[in-house]
Amino acid sequence: MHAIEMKDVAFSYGEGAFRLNKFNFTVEEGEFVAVLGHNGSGKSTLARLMNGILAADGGEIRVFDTLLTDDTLYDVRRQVGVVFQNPDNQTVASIVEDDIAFGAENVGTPREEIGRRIDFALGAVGMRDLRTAMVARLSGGQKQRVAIAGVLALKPRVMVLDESTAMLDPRGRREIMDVVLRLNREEKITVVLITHFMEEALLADRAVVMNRGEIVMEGTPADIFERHEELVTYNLALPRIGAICKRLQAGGMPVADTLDAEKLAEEIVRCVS
Amino acid sequence: MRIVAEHLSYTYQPKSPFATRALDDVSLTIEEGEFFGILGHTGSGKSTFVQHLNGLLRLPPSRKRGKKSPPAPNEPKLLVGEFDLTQKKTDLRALRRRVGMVFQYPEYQLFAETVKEDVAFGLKNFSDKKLTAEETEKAVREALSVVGMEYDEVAEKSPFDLSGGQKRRVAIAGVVVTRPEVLVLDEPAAGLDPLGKREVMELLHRLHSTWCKTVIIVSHDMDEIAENCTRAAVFAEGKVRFCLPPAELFRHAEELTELGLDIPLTAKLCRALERRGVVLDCDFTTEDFIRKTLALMGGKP
Repeated sequence: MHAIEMKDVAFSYGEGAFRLNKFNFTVEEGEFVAVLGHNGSGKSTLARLMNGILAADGGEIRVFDTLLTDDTLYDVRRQVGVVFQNPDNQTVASIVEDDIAFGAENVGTPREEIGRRIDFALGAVGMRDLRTAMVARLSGGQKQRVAIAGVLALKPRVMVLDESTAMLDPRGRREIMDVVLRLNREEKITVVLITHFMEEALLADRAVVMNRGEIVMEGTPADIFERHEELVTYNLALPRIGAICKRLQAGGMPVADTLDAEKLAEEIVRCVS
Repeated sequence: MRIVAEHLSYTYQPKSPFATRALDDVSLTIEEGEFFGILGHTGSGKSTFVQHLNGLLRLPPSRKRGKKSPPAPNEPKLLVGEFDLTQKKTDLRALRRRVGMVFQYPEYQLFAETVKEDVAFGLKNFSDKKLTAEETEKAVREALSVVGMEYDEVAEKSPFDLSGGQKRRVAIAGVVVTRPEVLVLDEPAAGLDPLGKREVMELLHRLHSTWCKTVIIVSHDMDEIAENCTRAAVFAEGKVRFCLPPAELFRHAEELTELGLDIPLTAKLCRALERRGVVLDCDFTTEDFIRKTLALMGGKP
């Protein structure tokens, strides 16, 4: 089944910016898709259309076969949870468990059920010990995990992460990626990861590249990185290690393309011995 | 301006149950002309340290002592050029004019209706005399040009209509407009796409070679440090654990990993090669790594 299906979607911010025109994009149930693109390529607009934060000017958006309309908006939002970039903008309560409960309470979840969902969500993001901690005293990575837990408490089937790791340090970034991978693999939650960190896109099943409101490349992450000359034209860069492979090849060392440091070392040794 | 810190300690919310020791006896010297990196985890004390450099955080008042008695051996000391921040009376305005501070995500601090007003704000705040409109325009024009923006194109625009990378450059222009000798930036490239990152780093090198003698960046990106910095200090639990040029710093891979920090990709590759019996004596910049690796082939085709 399609988790998300966008058909001939049109959207525009008005003069100057890019526009989406006859935009088609499908995400399958259980899939982990990375959406890449430079700043202003339309990738965040895509995220905001998926759960109706922005309304399309034309075309159809379906979430698990439900057509997104004013009447189905709230049902769709329960299915599609979005985690944004800035951890400080996404917390409302002062205590972790209250914050996680906020969304579930808003949609009228029974009290006992909320308790169970908090347990589940805290476990899923690995924060059981911090149930009664104060949100203001958490690190950025922990706050982002609270934001994810708050979305999980609504039991969504799709999770959209809109540059959710951009403001975190490397440790926080790894924490979030571990959680996202686990949710996808174990809880079978469909994931749409919007990012410009190439290293994160490598973890996805499929990657798409956006430029000026259009999907310009699509394939497995390895396929995409293979076409590095094209990536550069969309103001994206290869992961650093991919760029080093290319430089070595250009310098006359026939290393095979790889995105793994150990593998590249092996290749170099092979070439020089 | 040389920066000398000795025995610096700082505690947030002292004498309360939330007291946290952010700096613990930190001594660090940053020479004039350096492109200095500051590394460390969230909560390692690095931001607390840099906020001392332009007097946003002050040293705790020193215990009164008689004029005659000699200074205690561990007396905290902080000199930023000729400014002695150990003294209560420091001309903070003059200091802040000469030590520019760009915070994380500085574009969130843009506020004025037009780009030129936004950039001029710091200038008006920090100058000693009232500037004429011409003087202001000239300074704003130069500041925008040094960050790679065209005055005539953006001056009258709202800063909020610019792209993310442009906003950040305008915010940086608003700090360098006073021509600071020392420029401190907290995560200057965070959250930008690869192109934006490259532009910001190029901009910092341009500033370093023209207006700002010393550039200090706080960063989590080890590759950025390896490629750009003359030296880097690693903060952990309020102490400085290392202060070395990148070429030496990243040889301490095990210690850095223990501190939960990464090492640059080039250092990872060097270690992987070493385990396979190939020793590469490289300074961990990409250029040097590629040159030395290609040299391994010797005369081979």
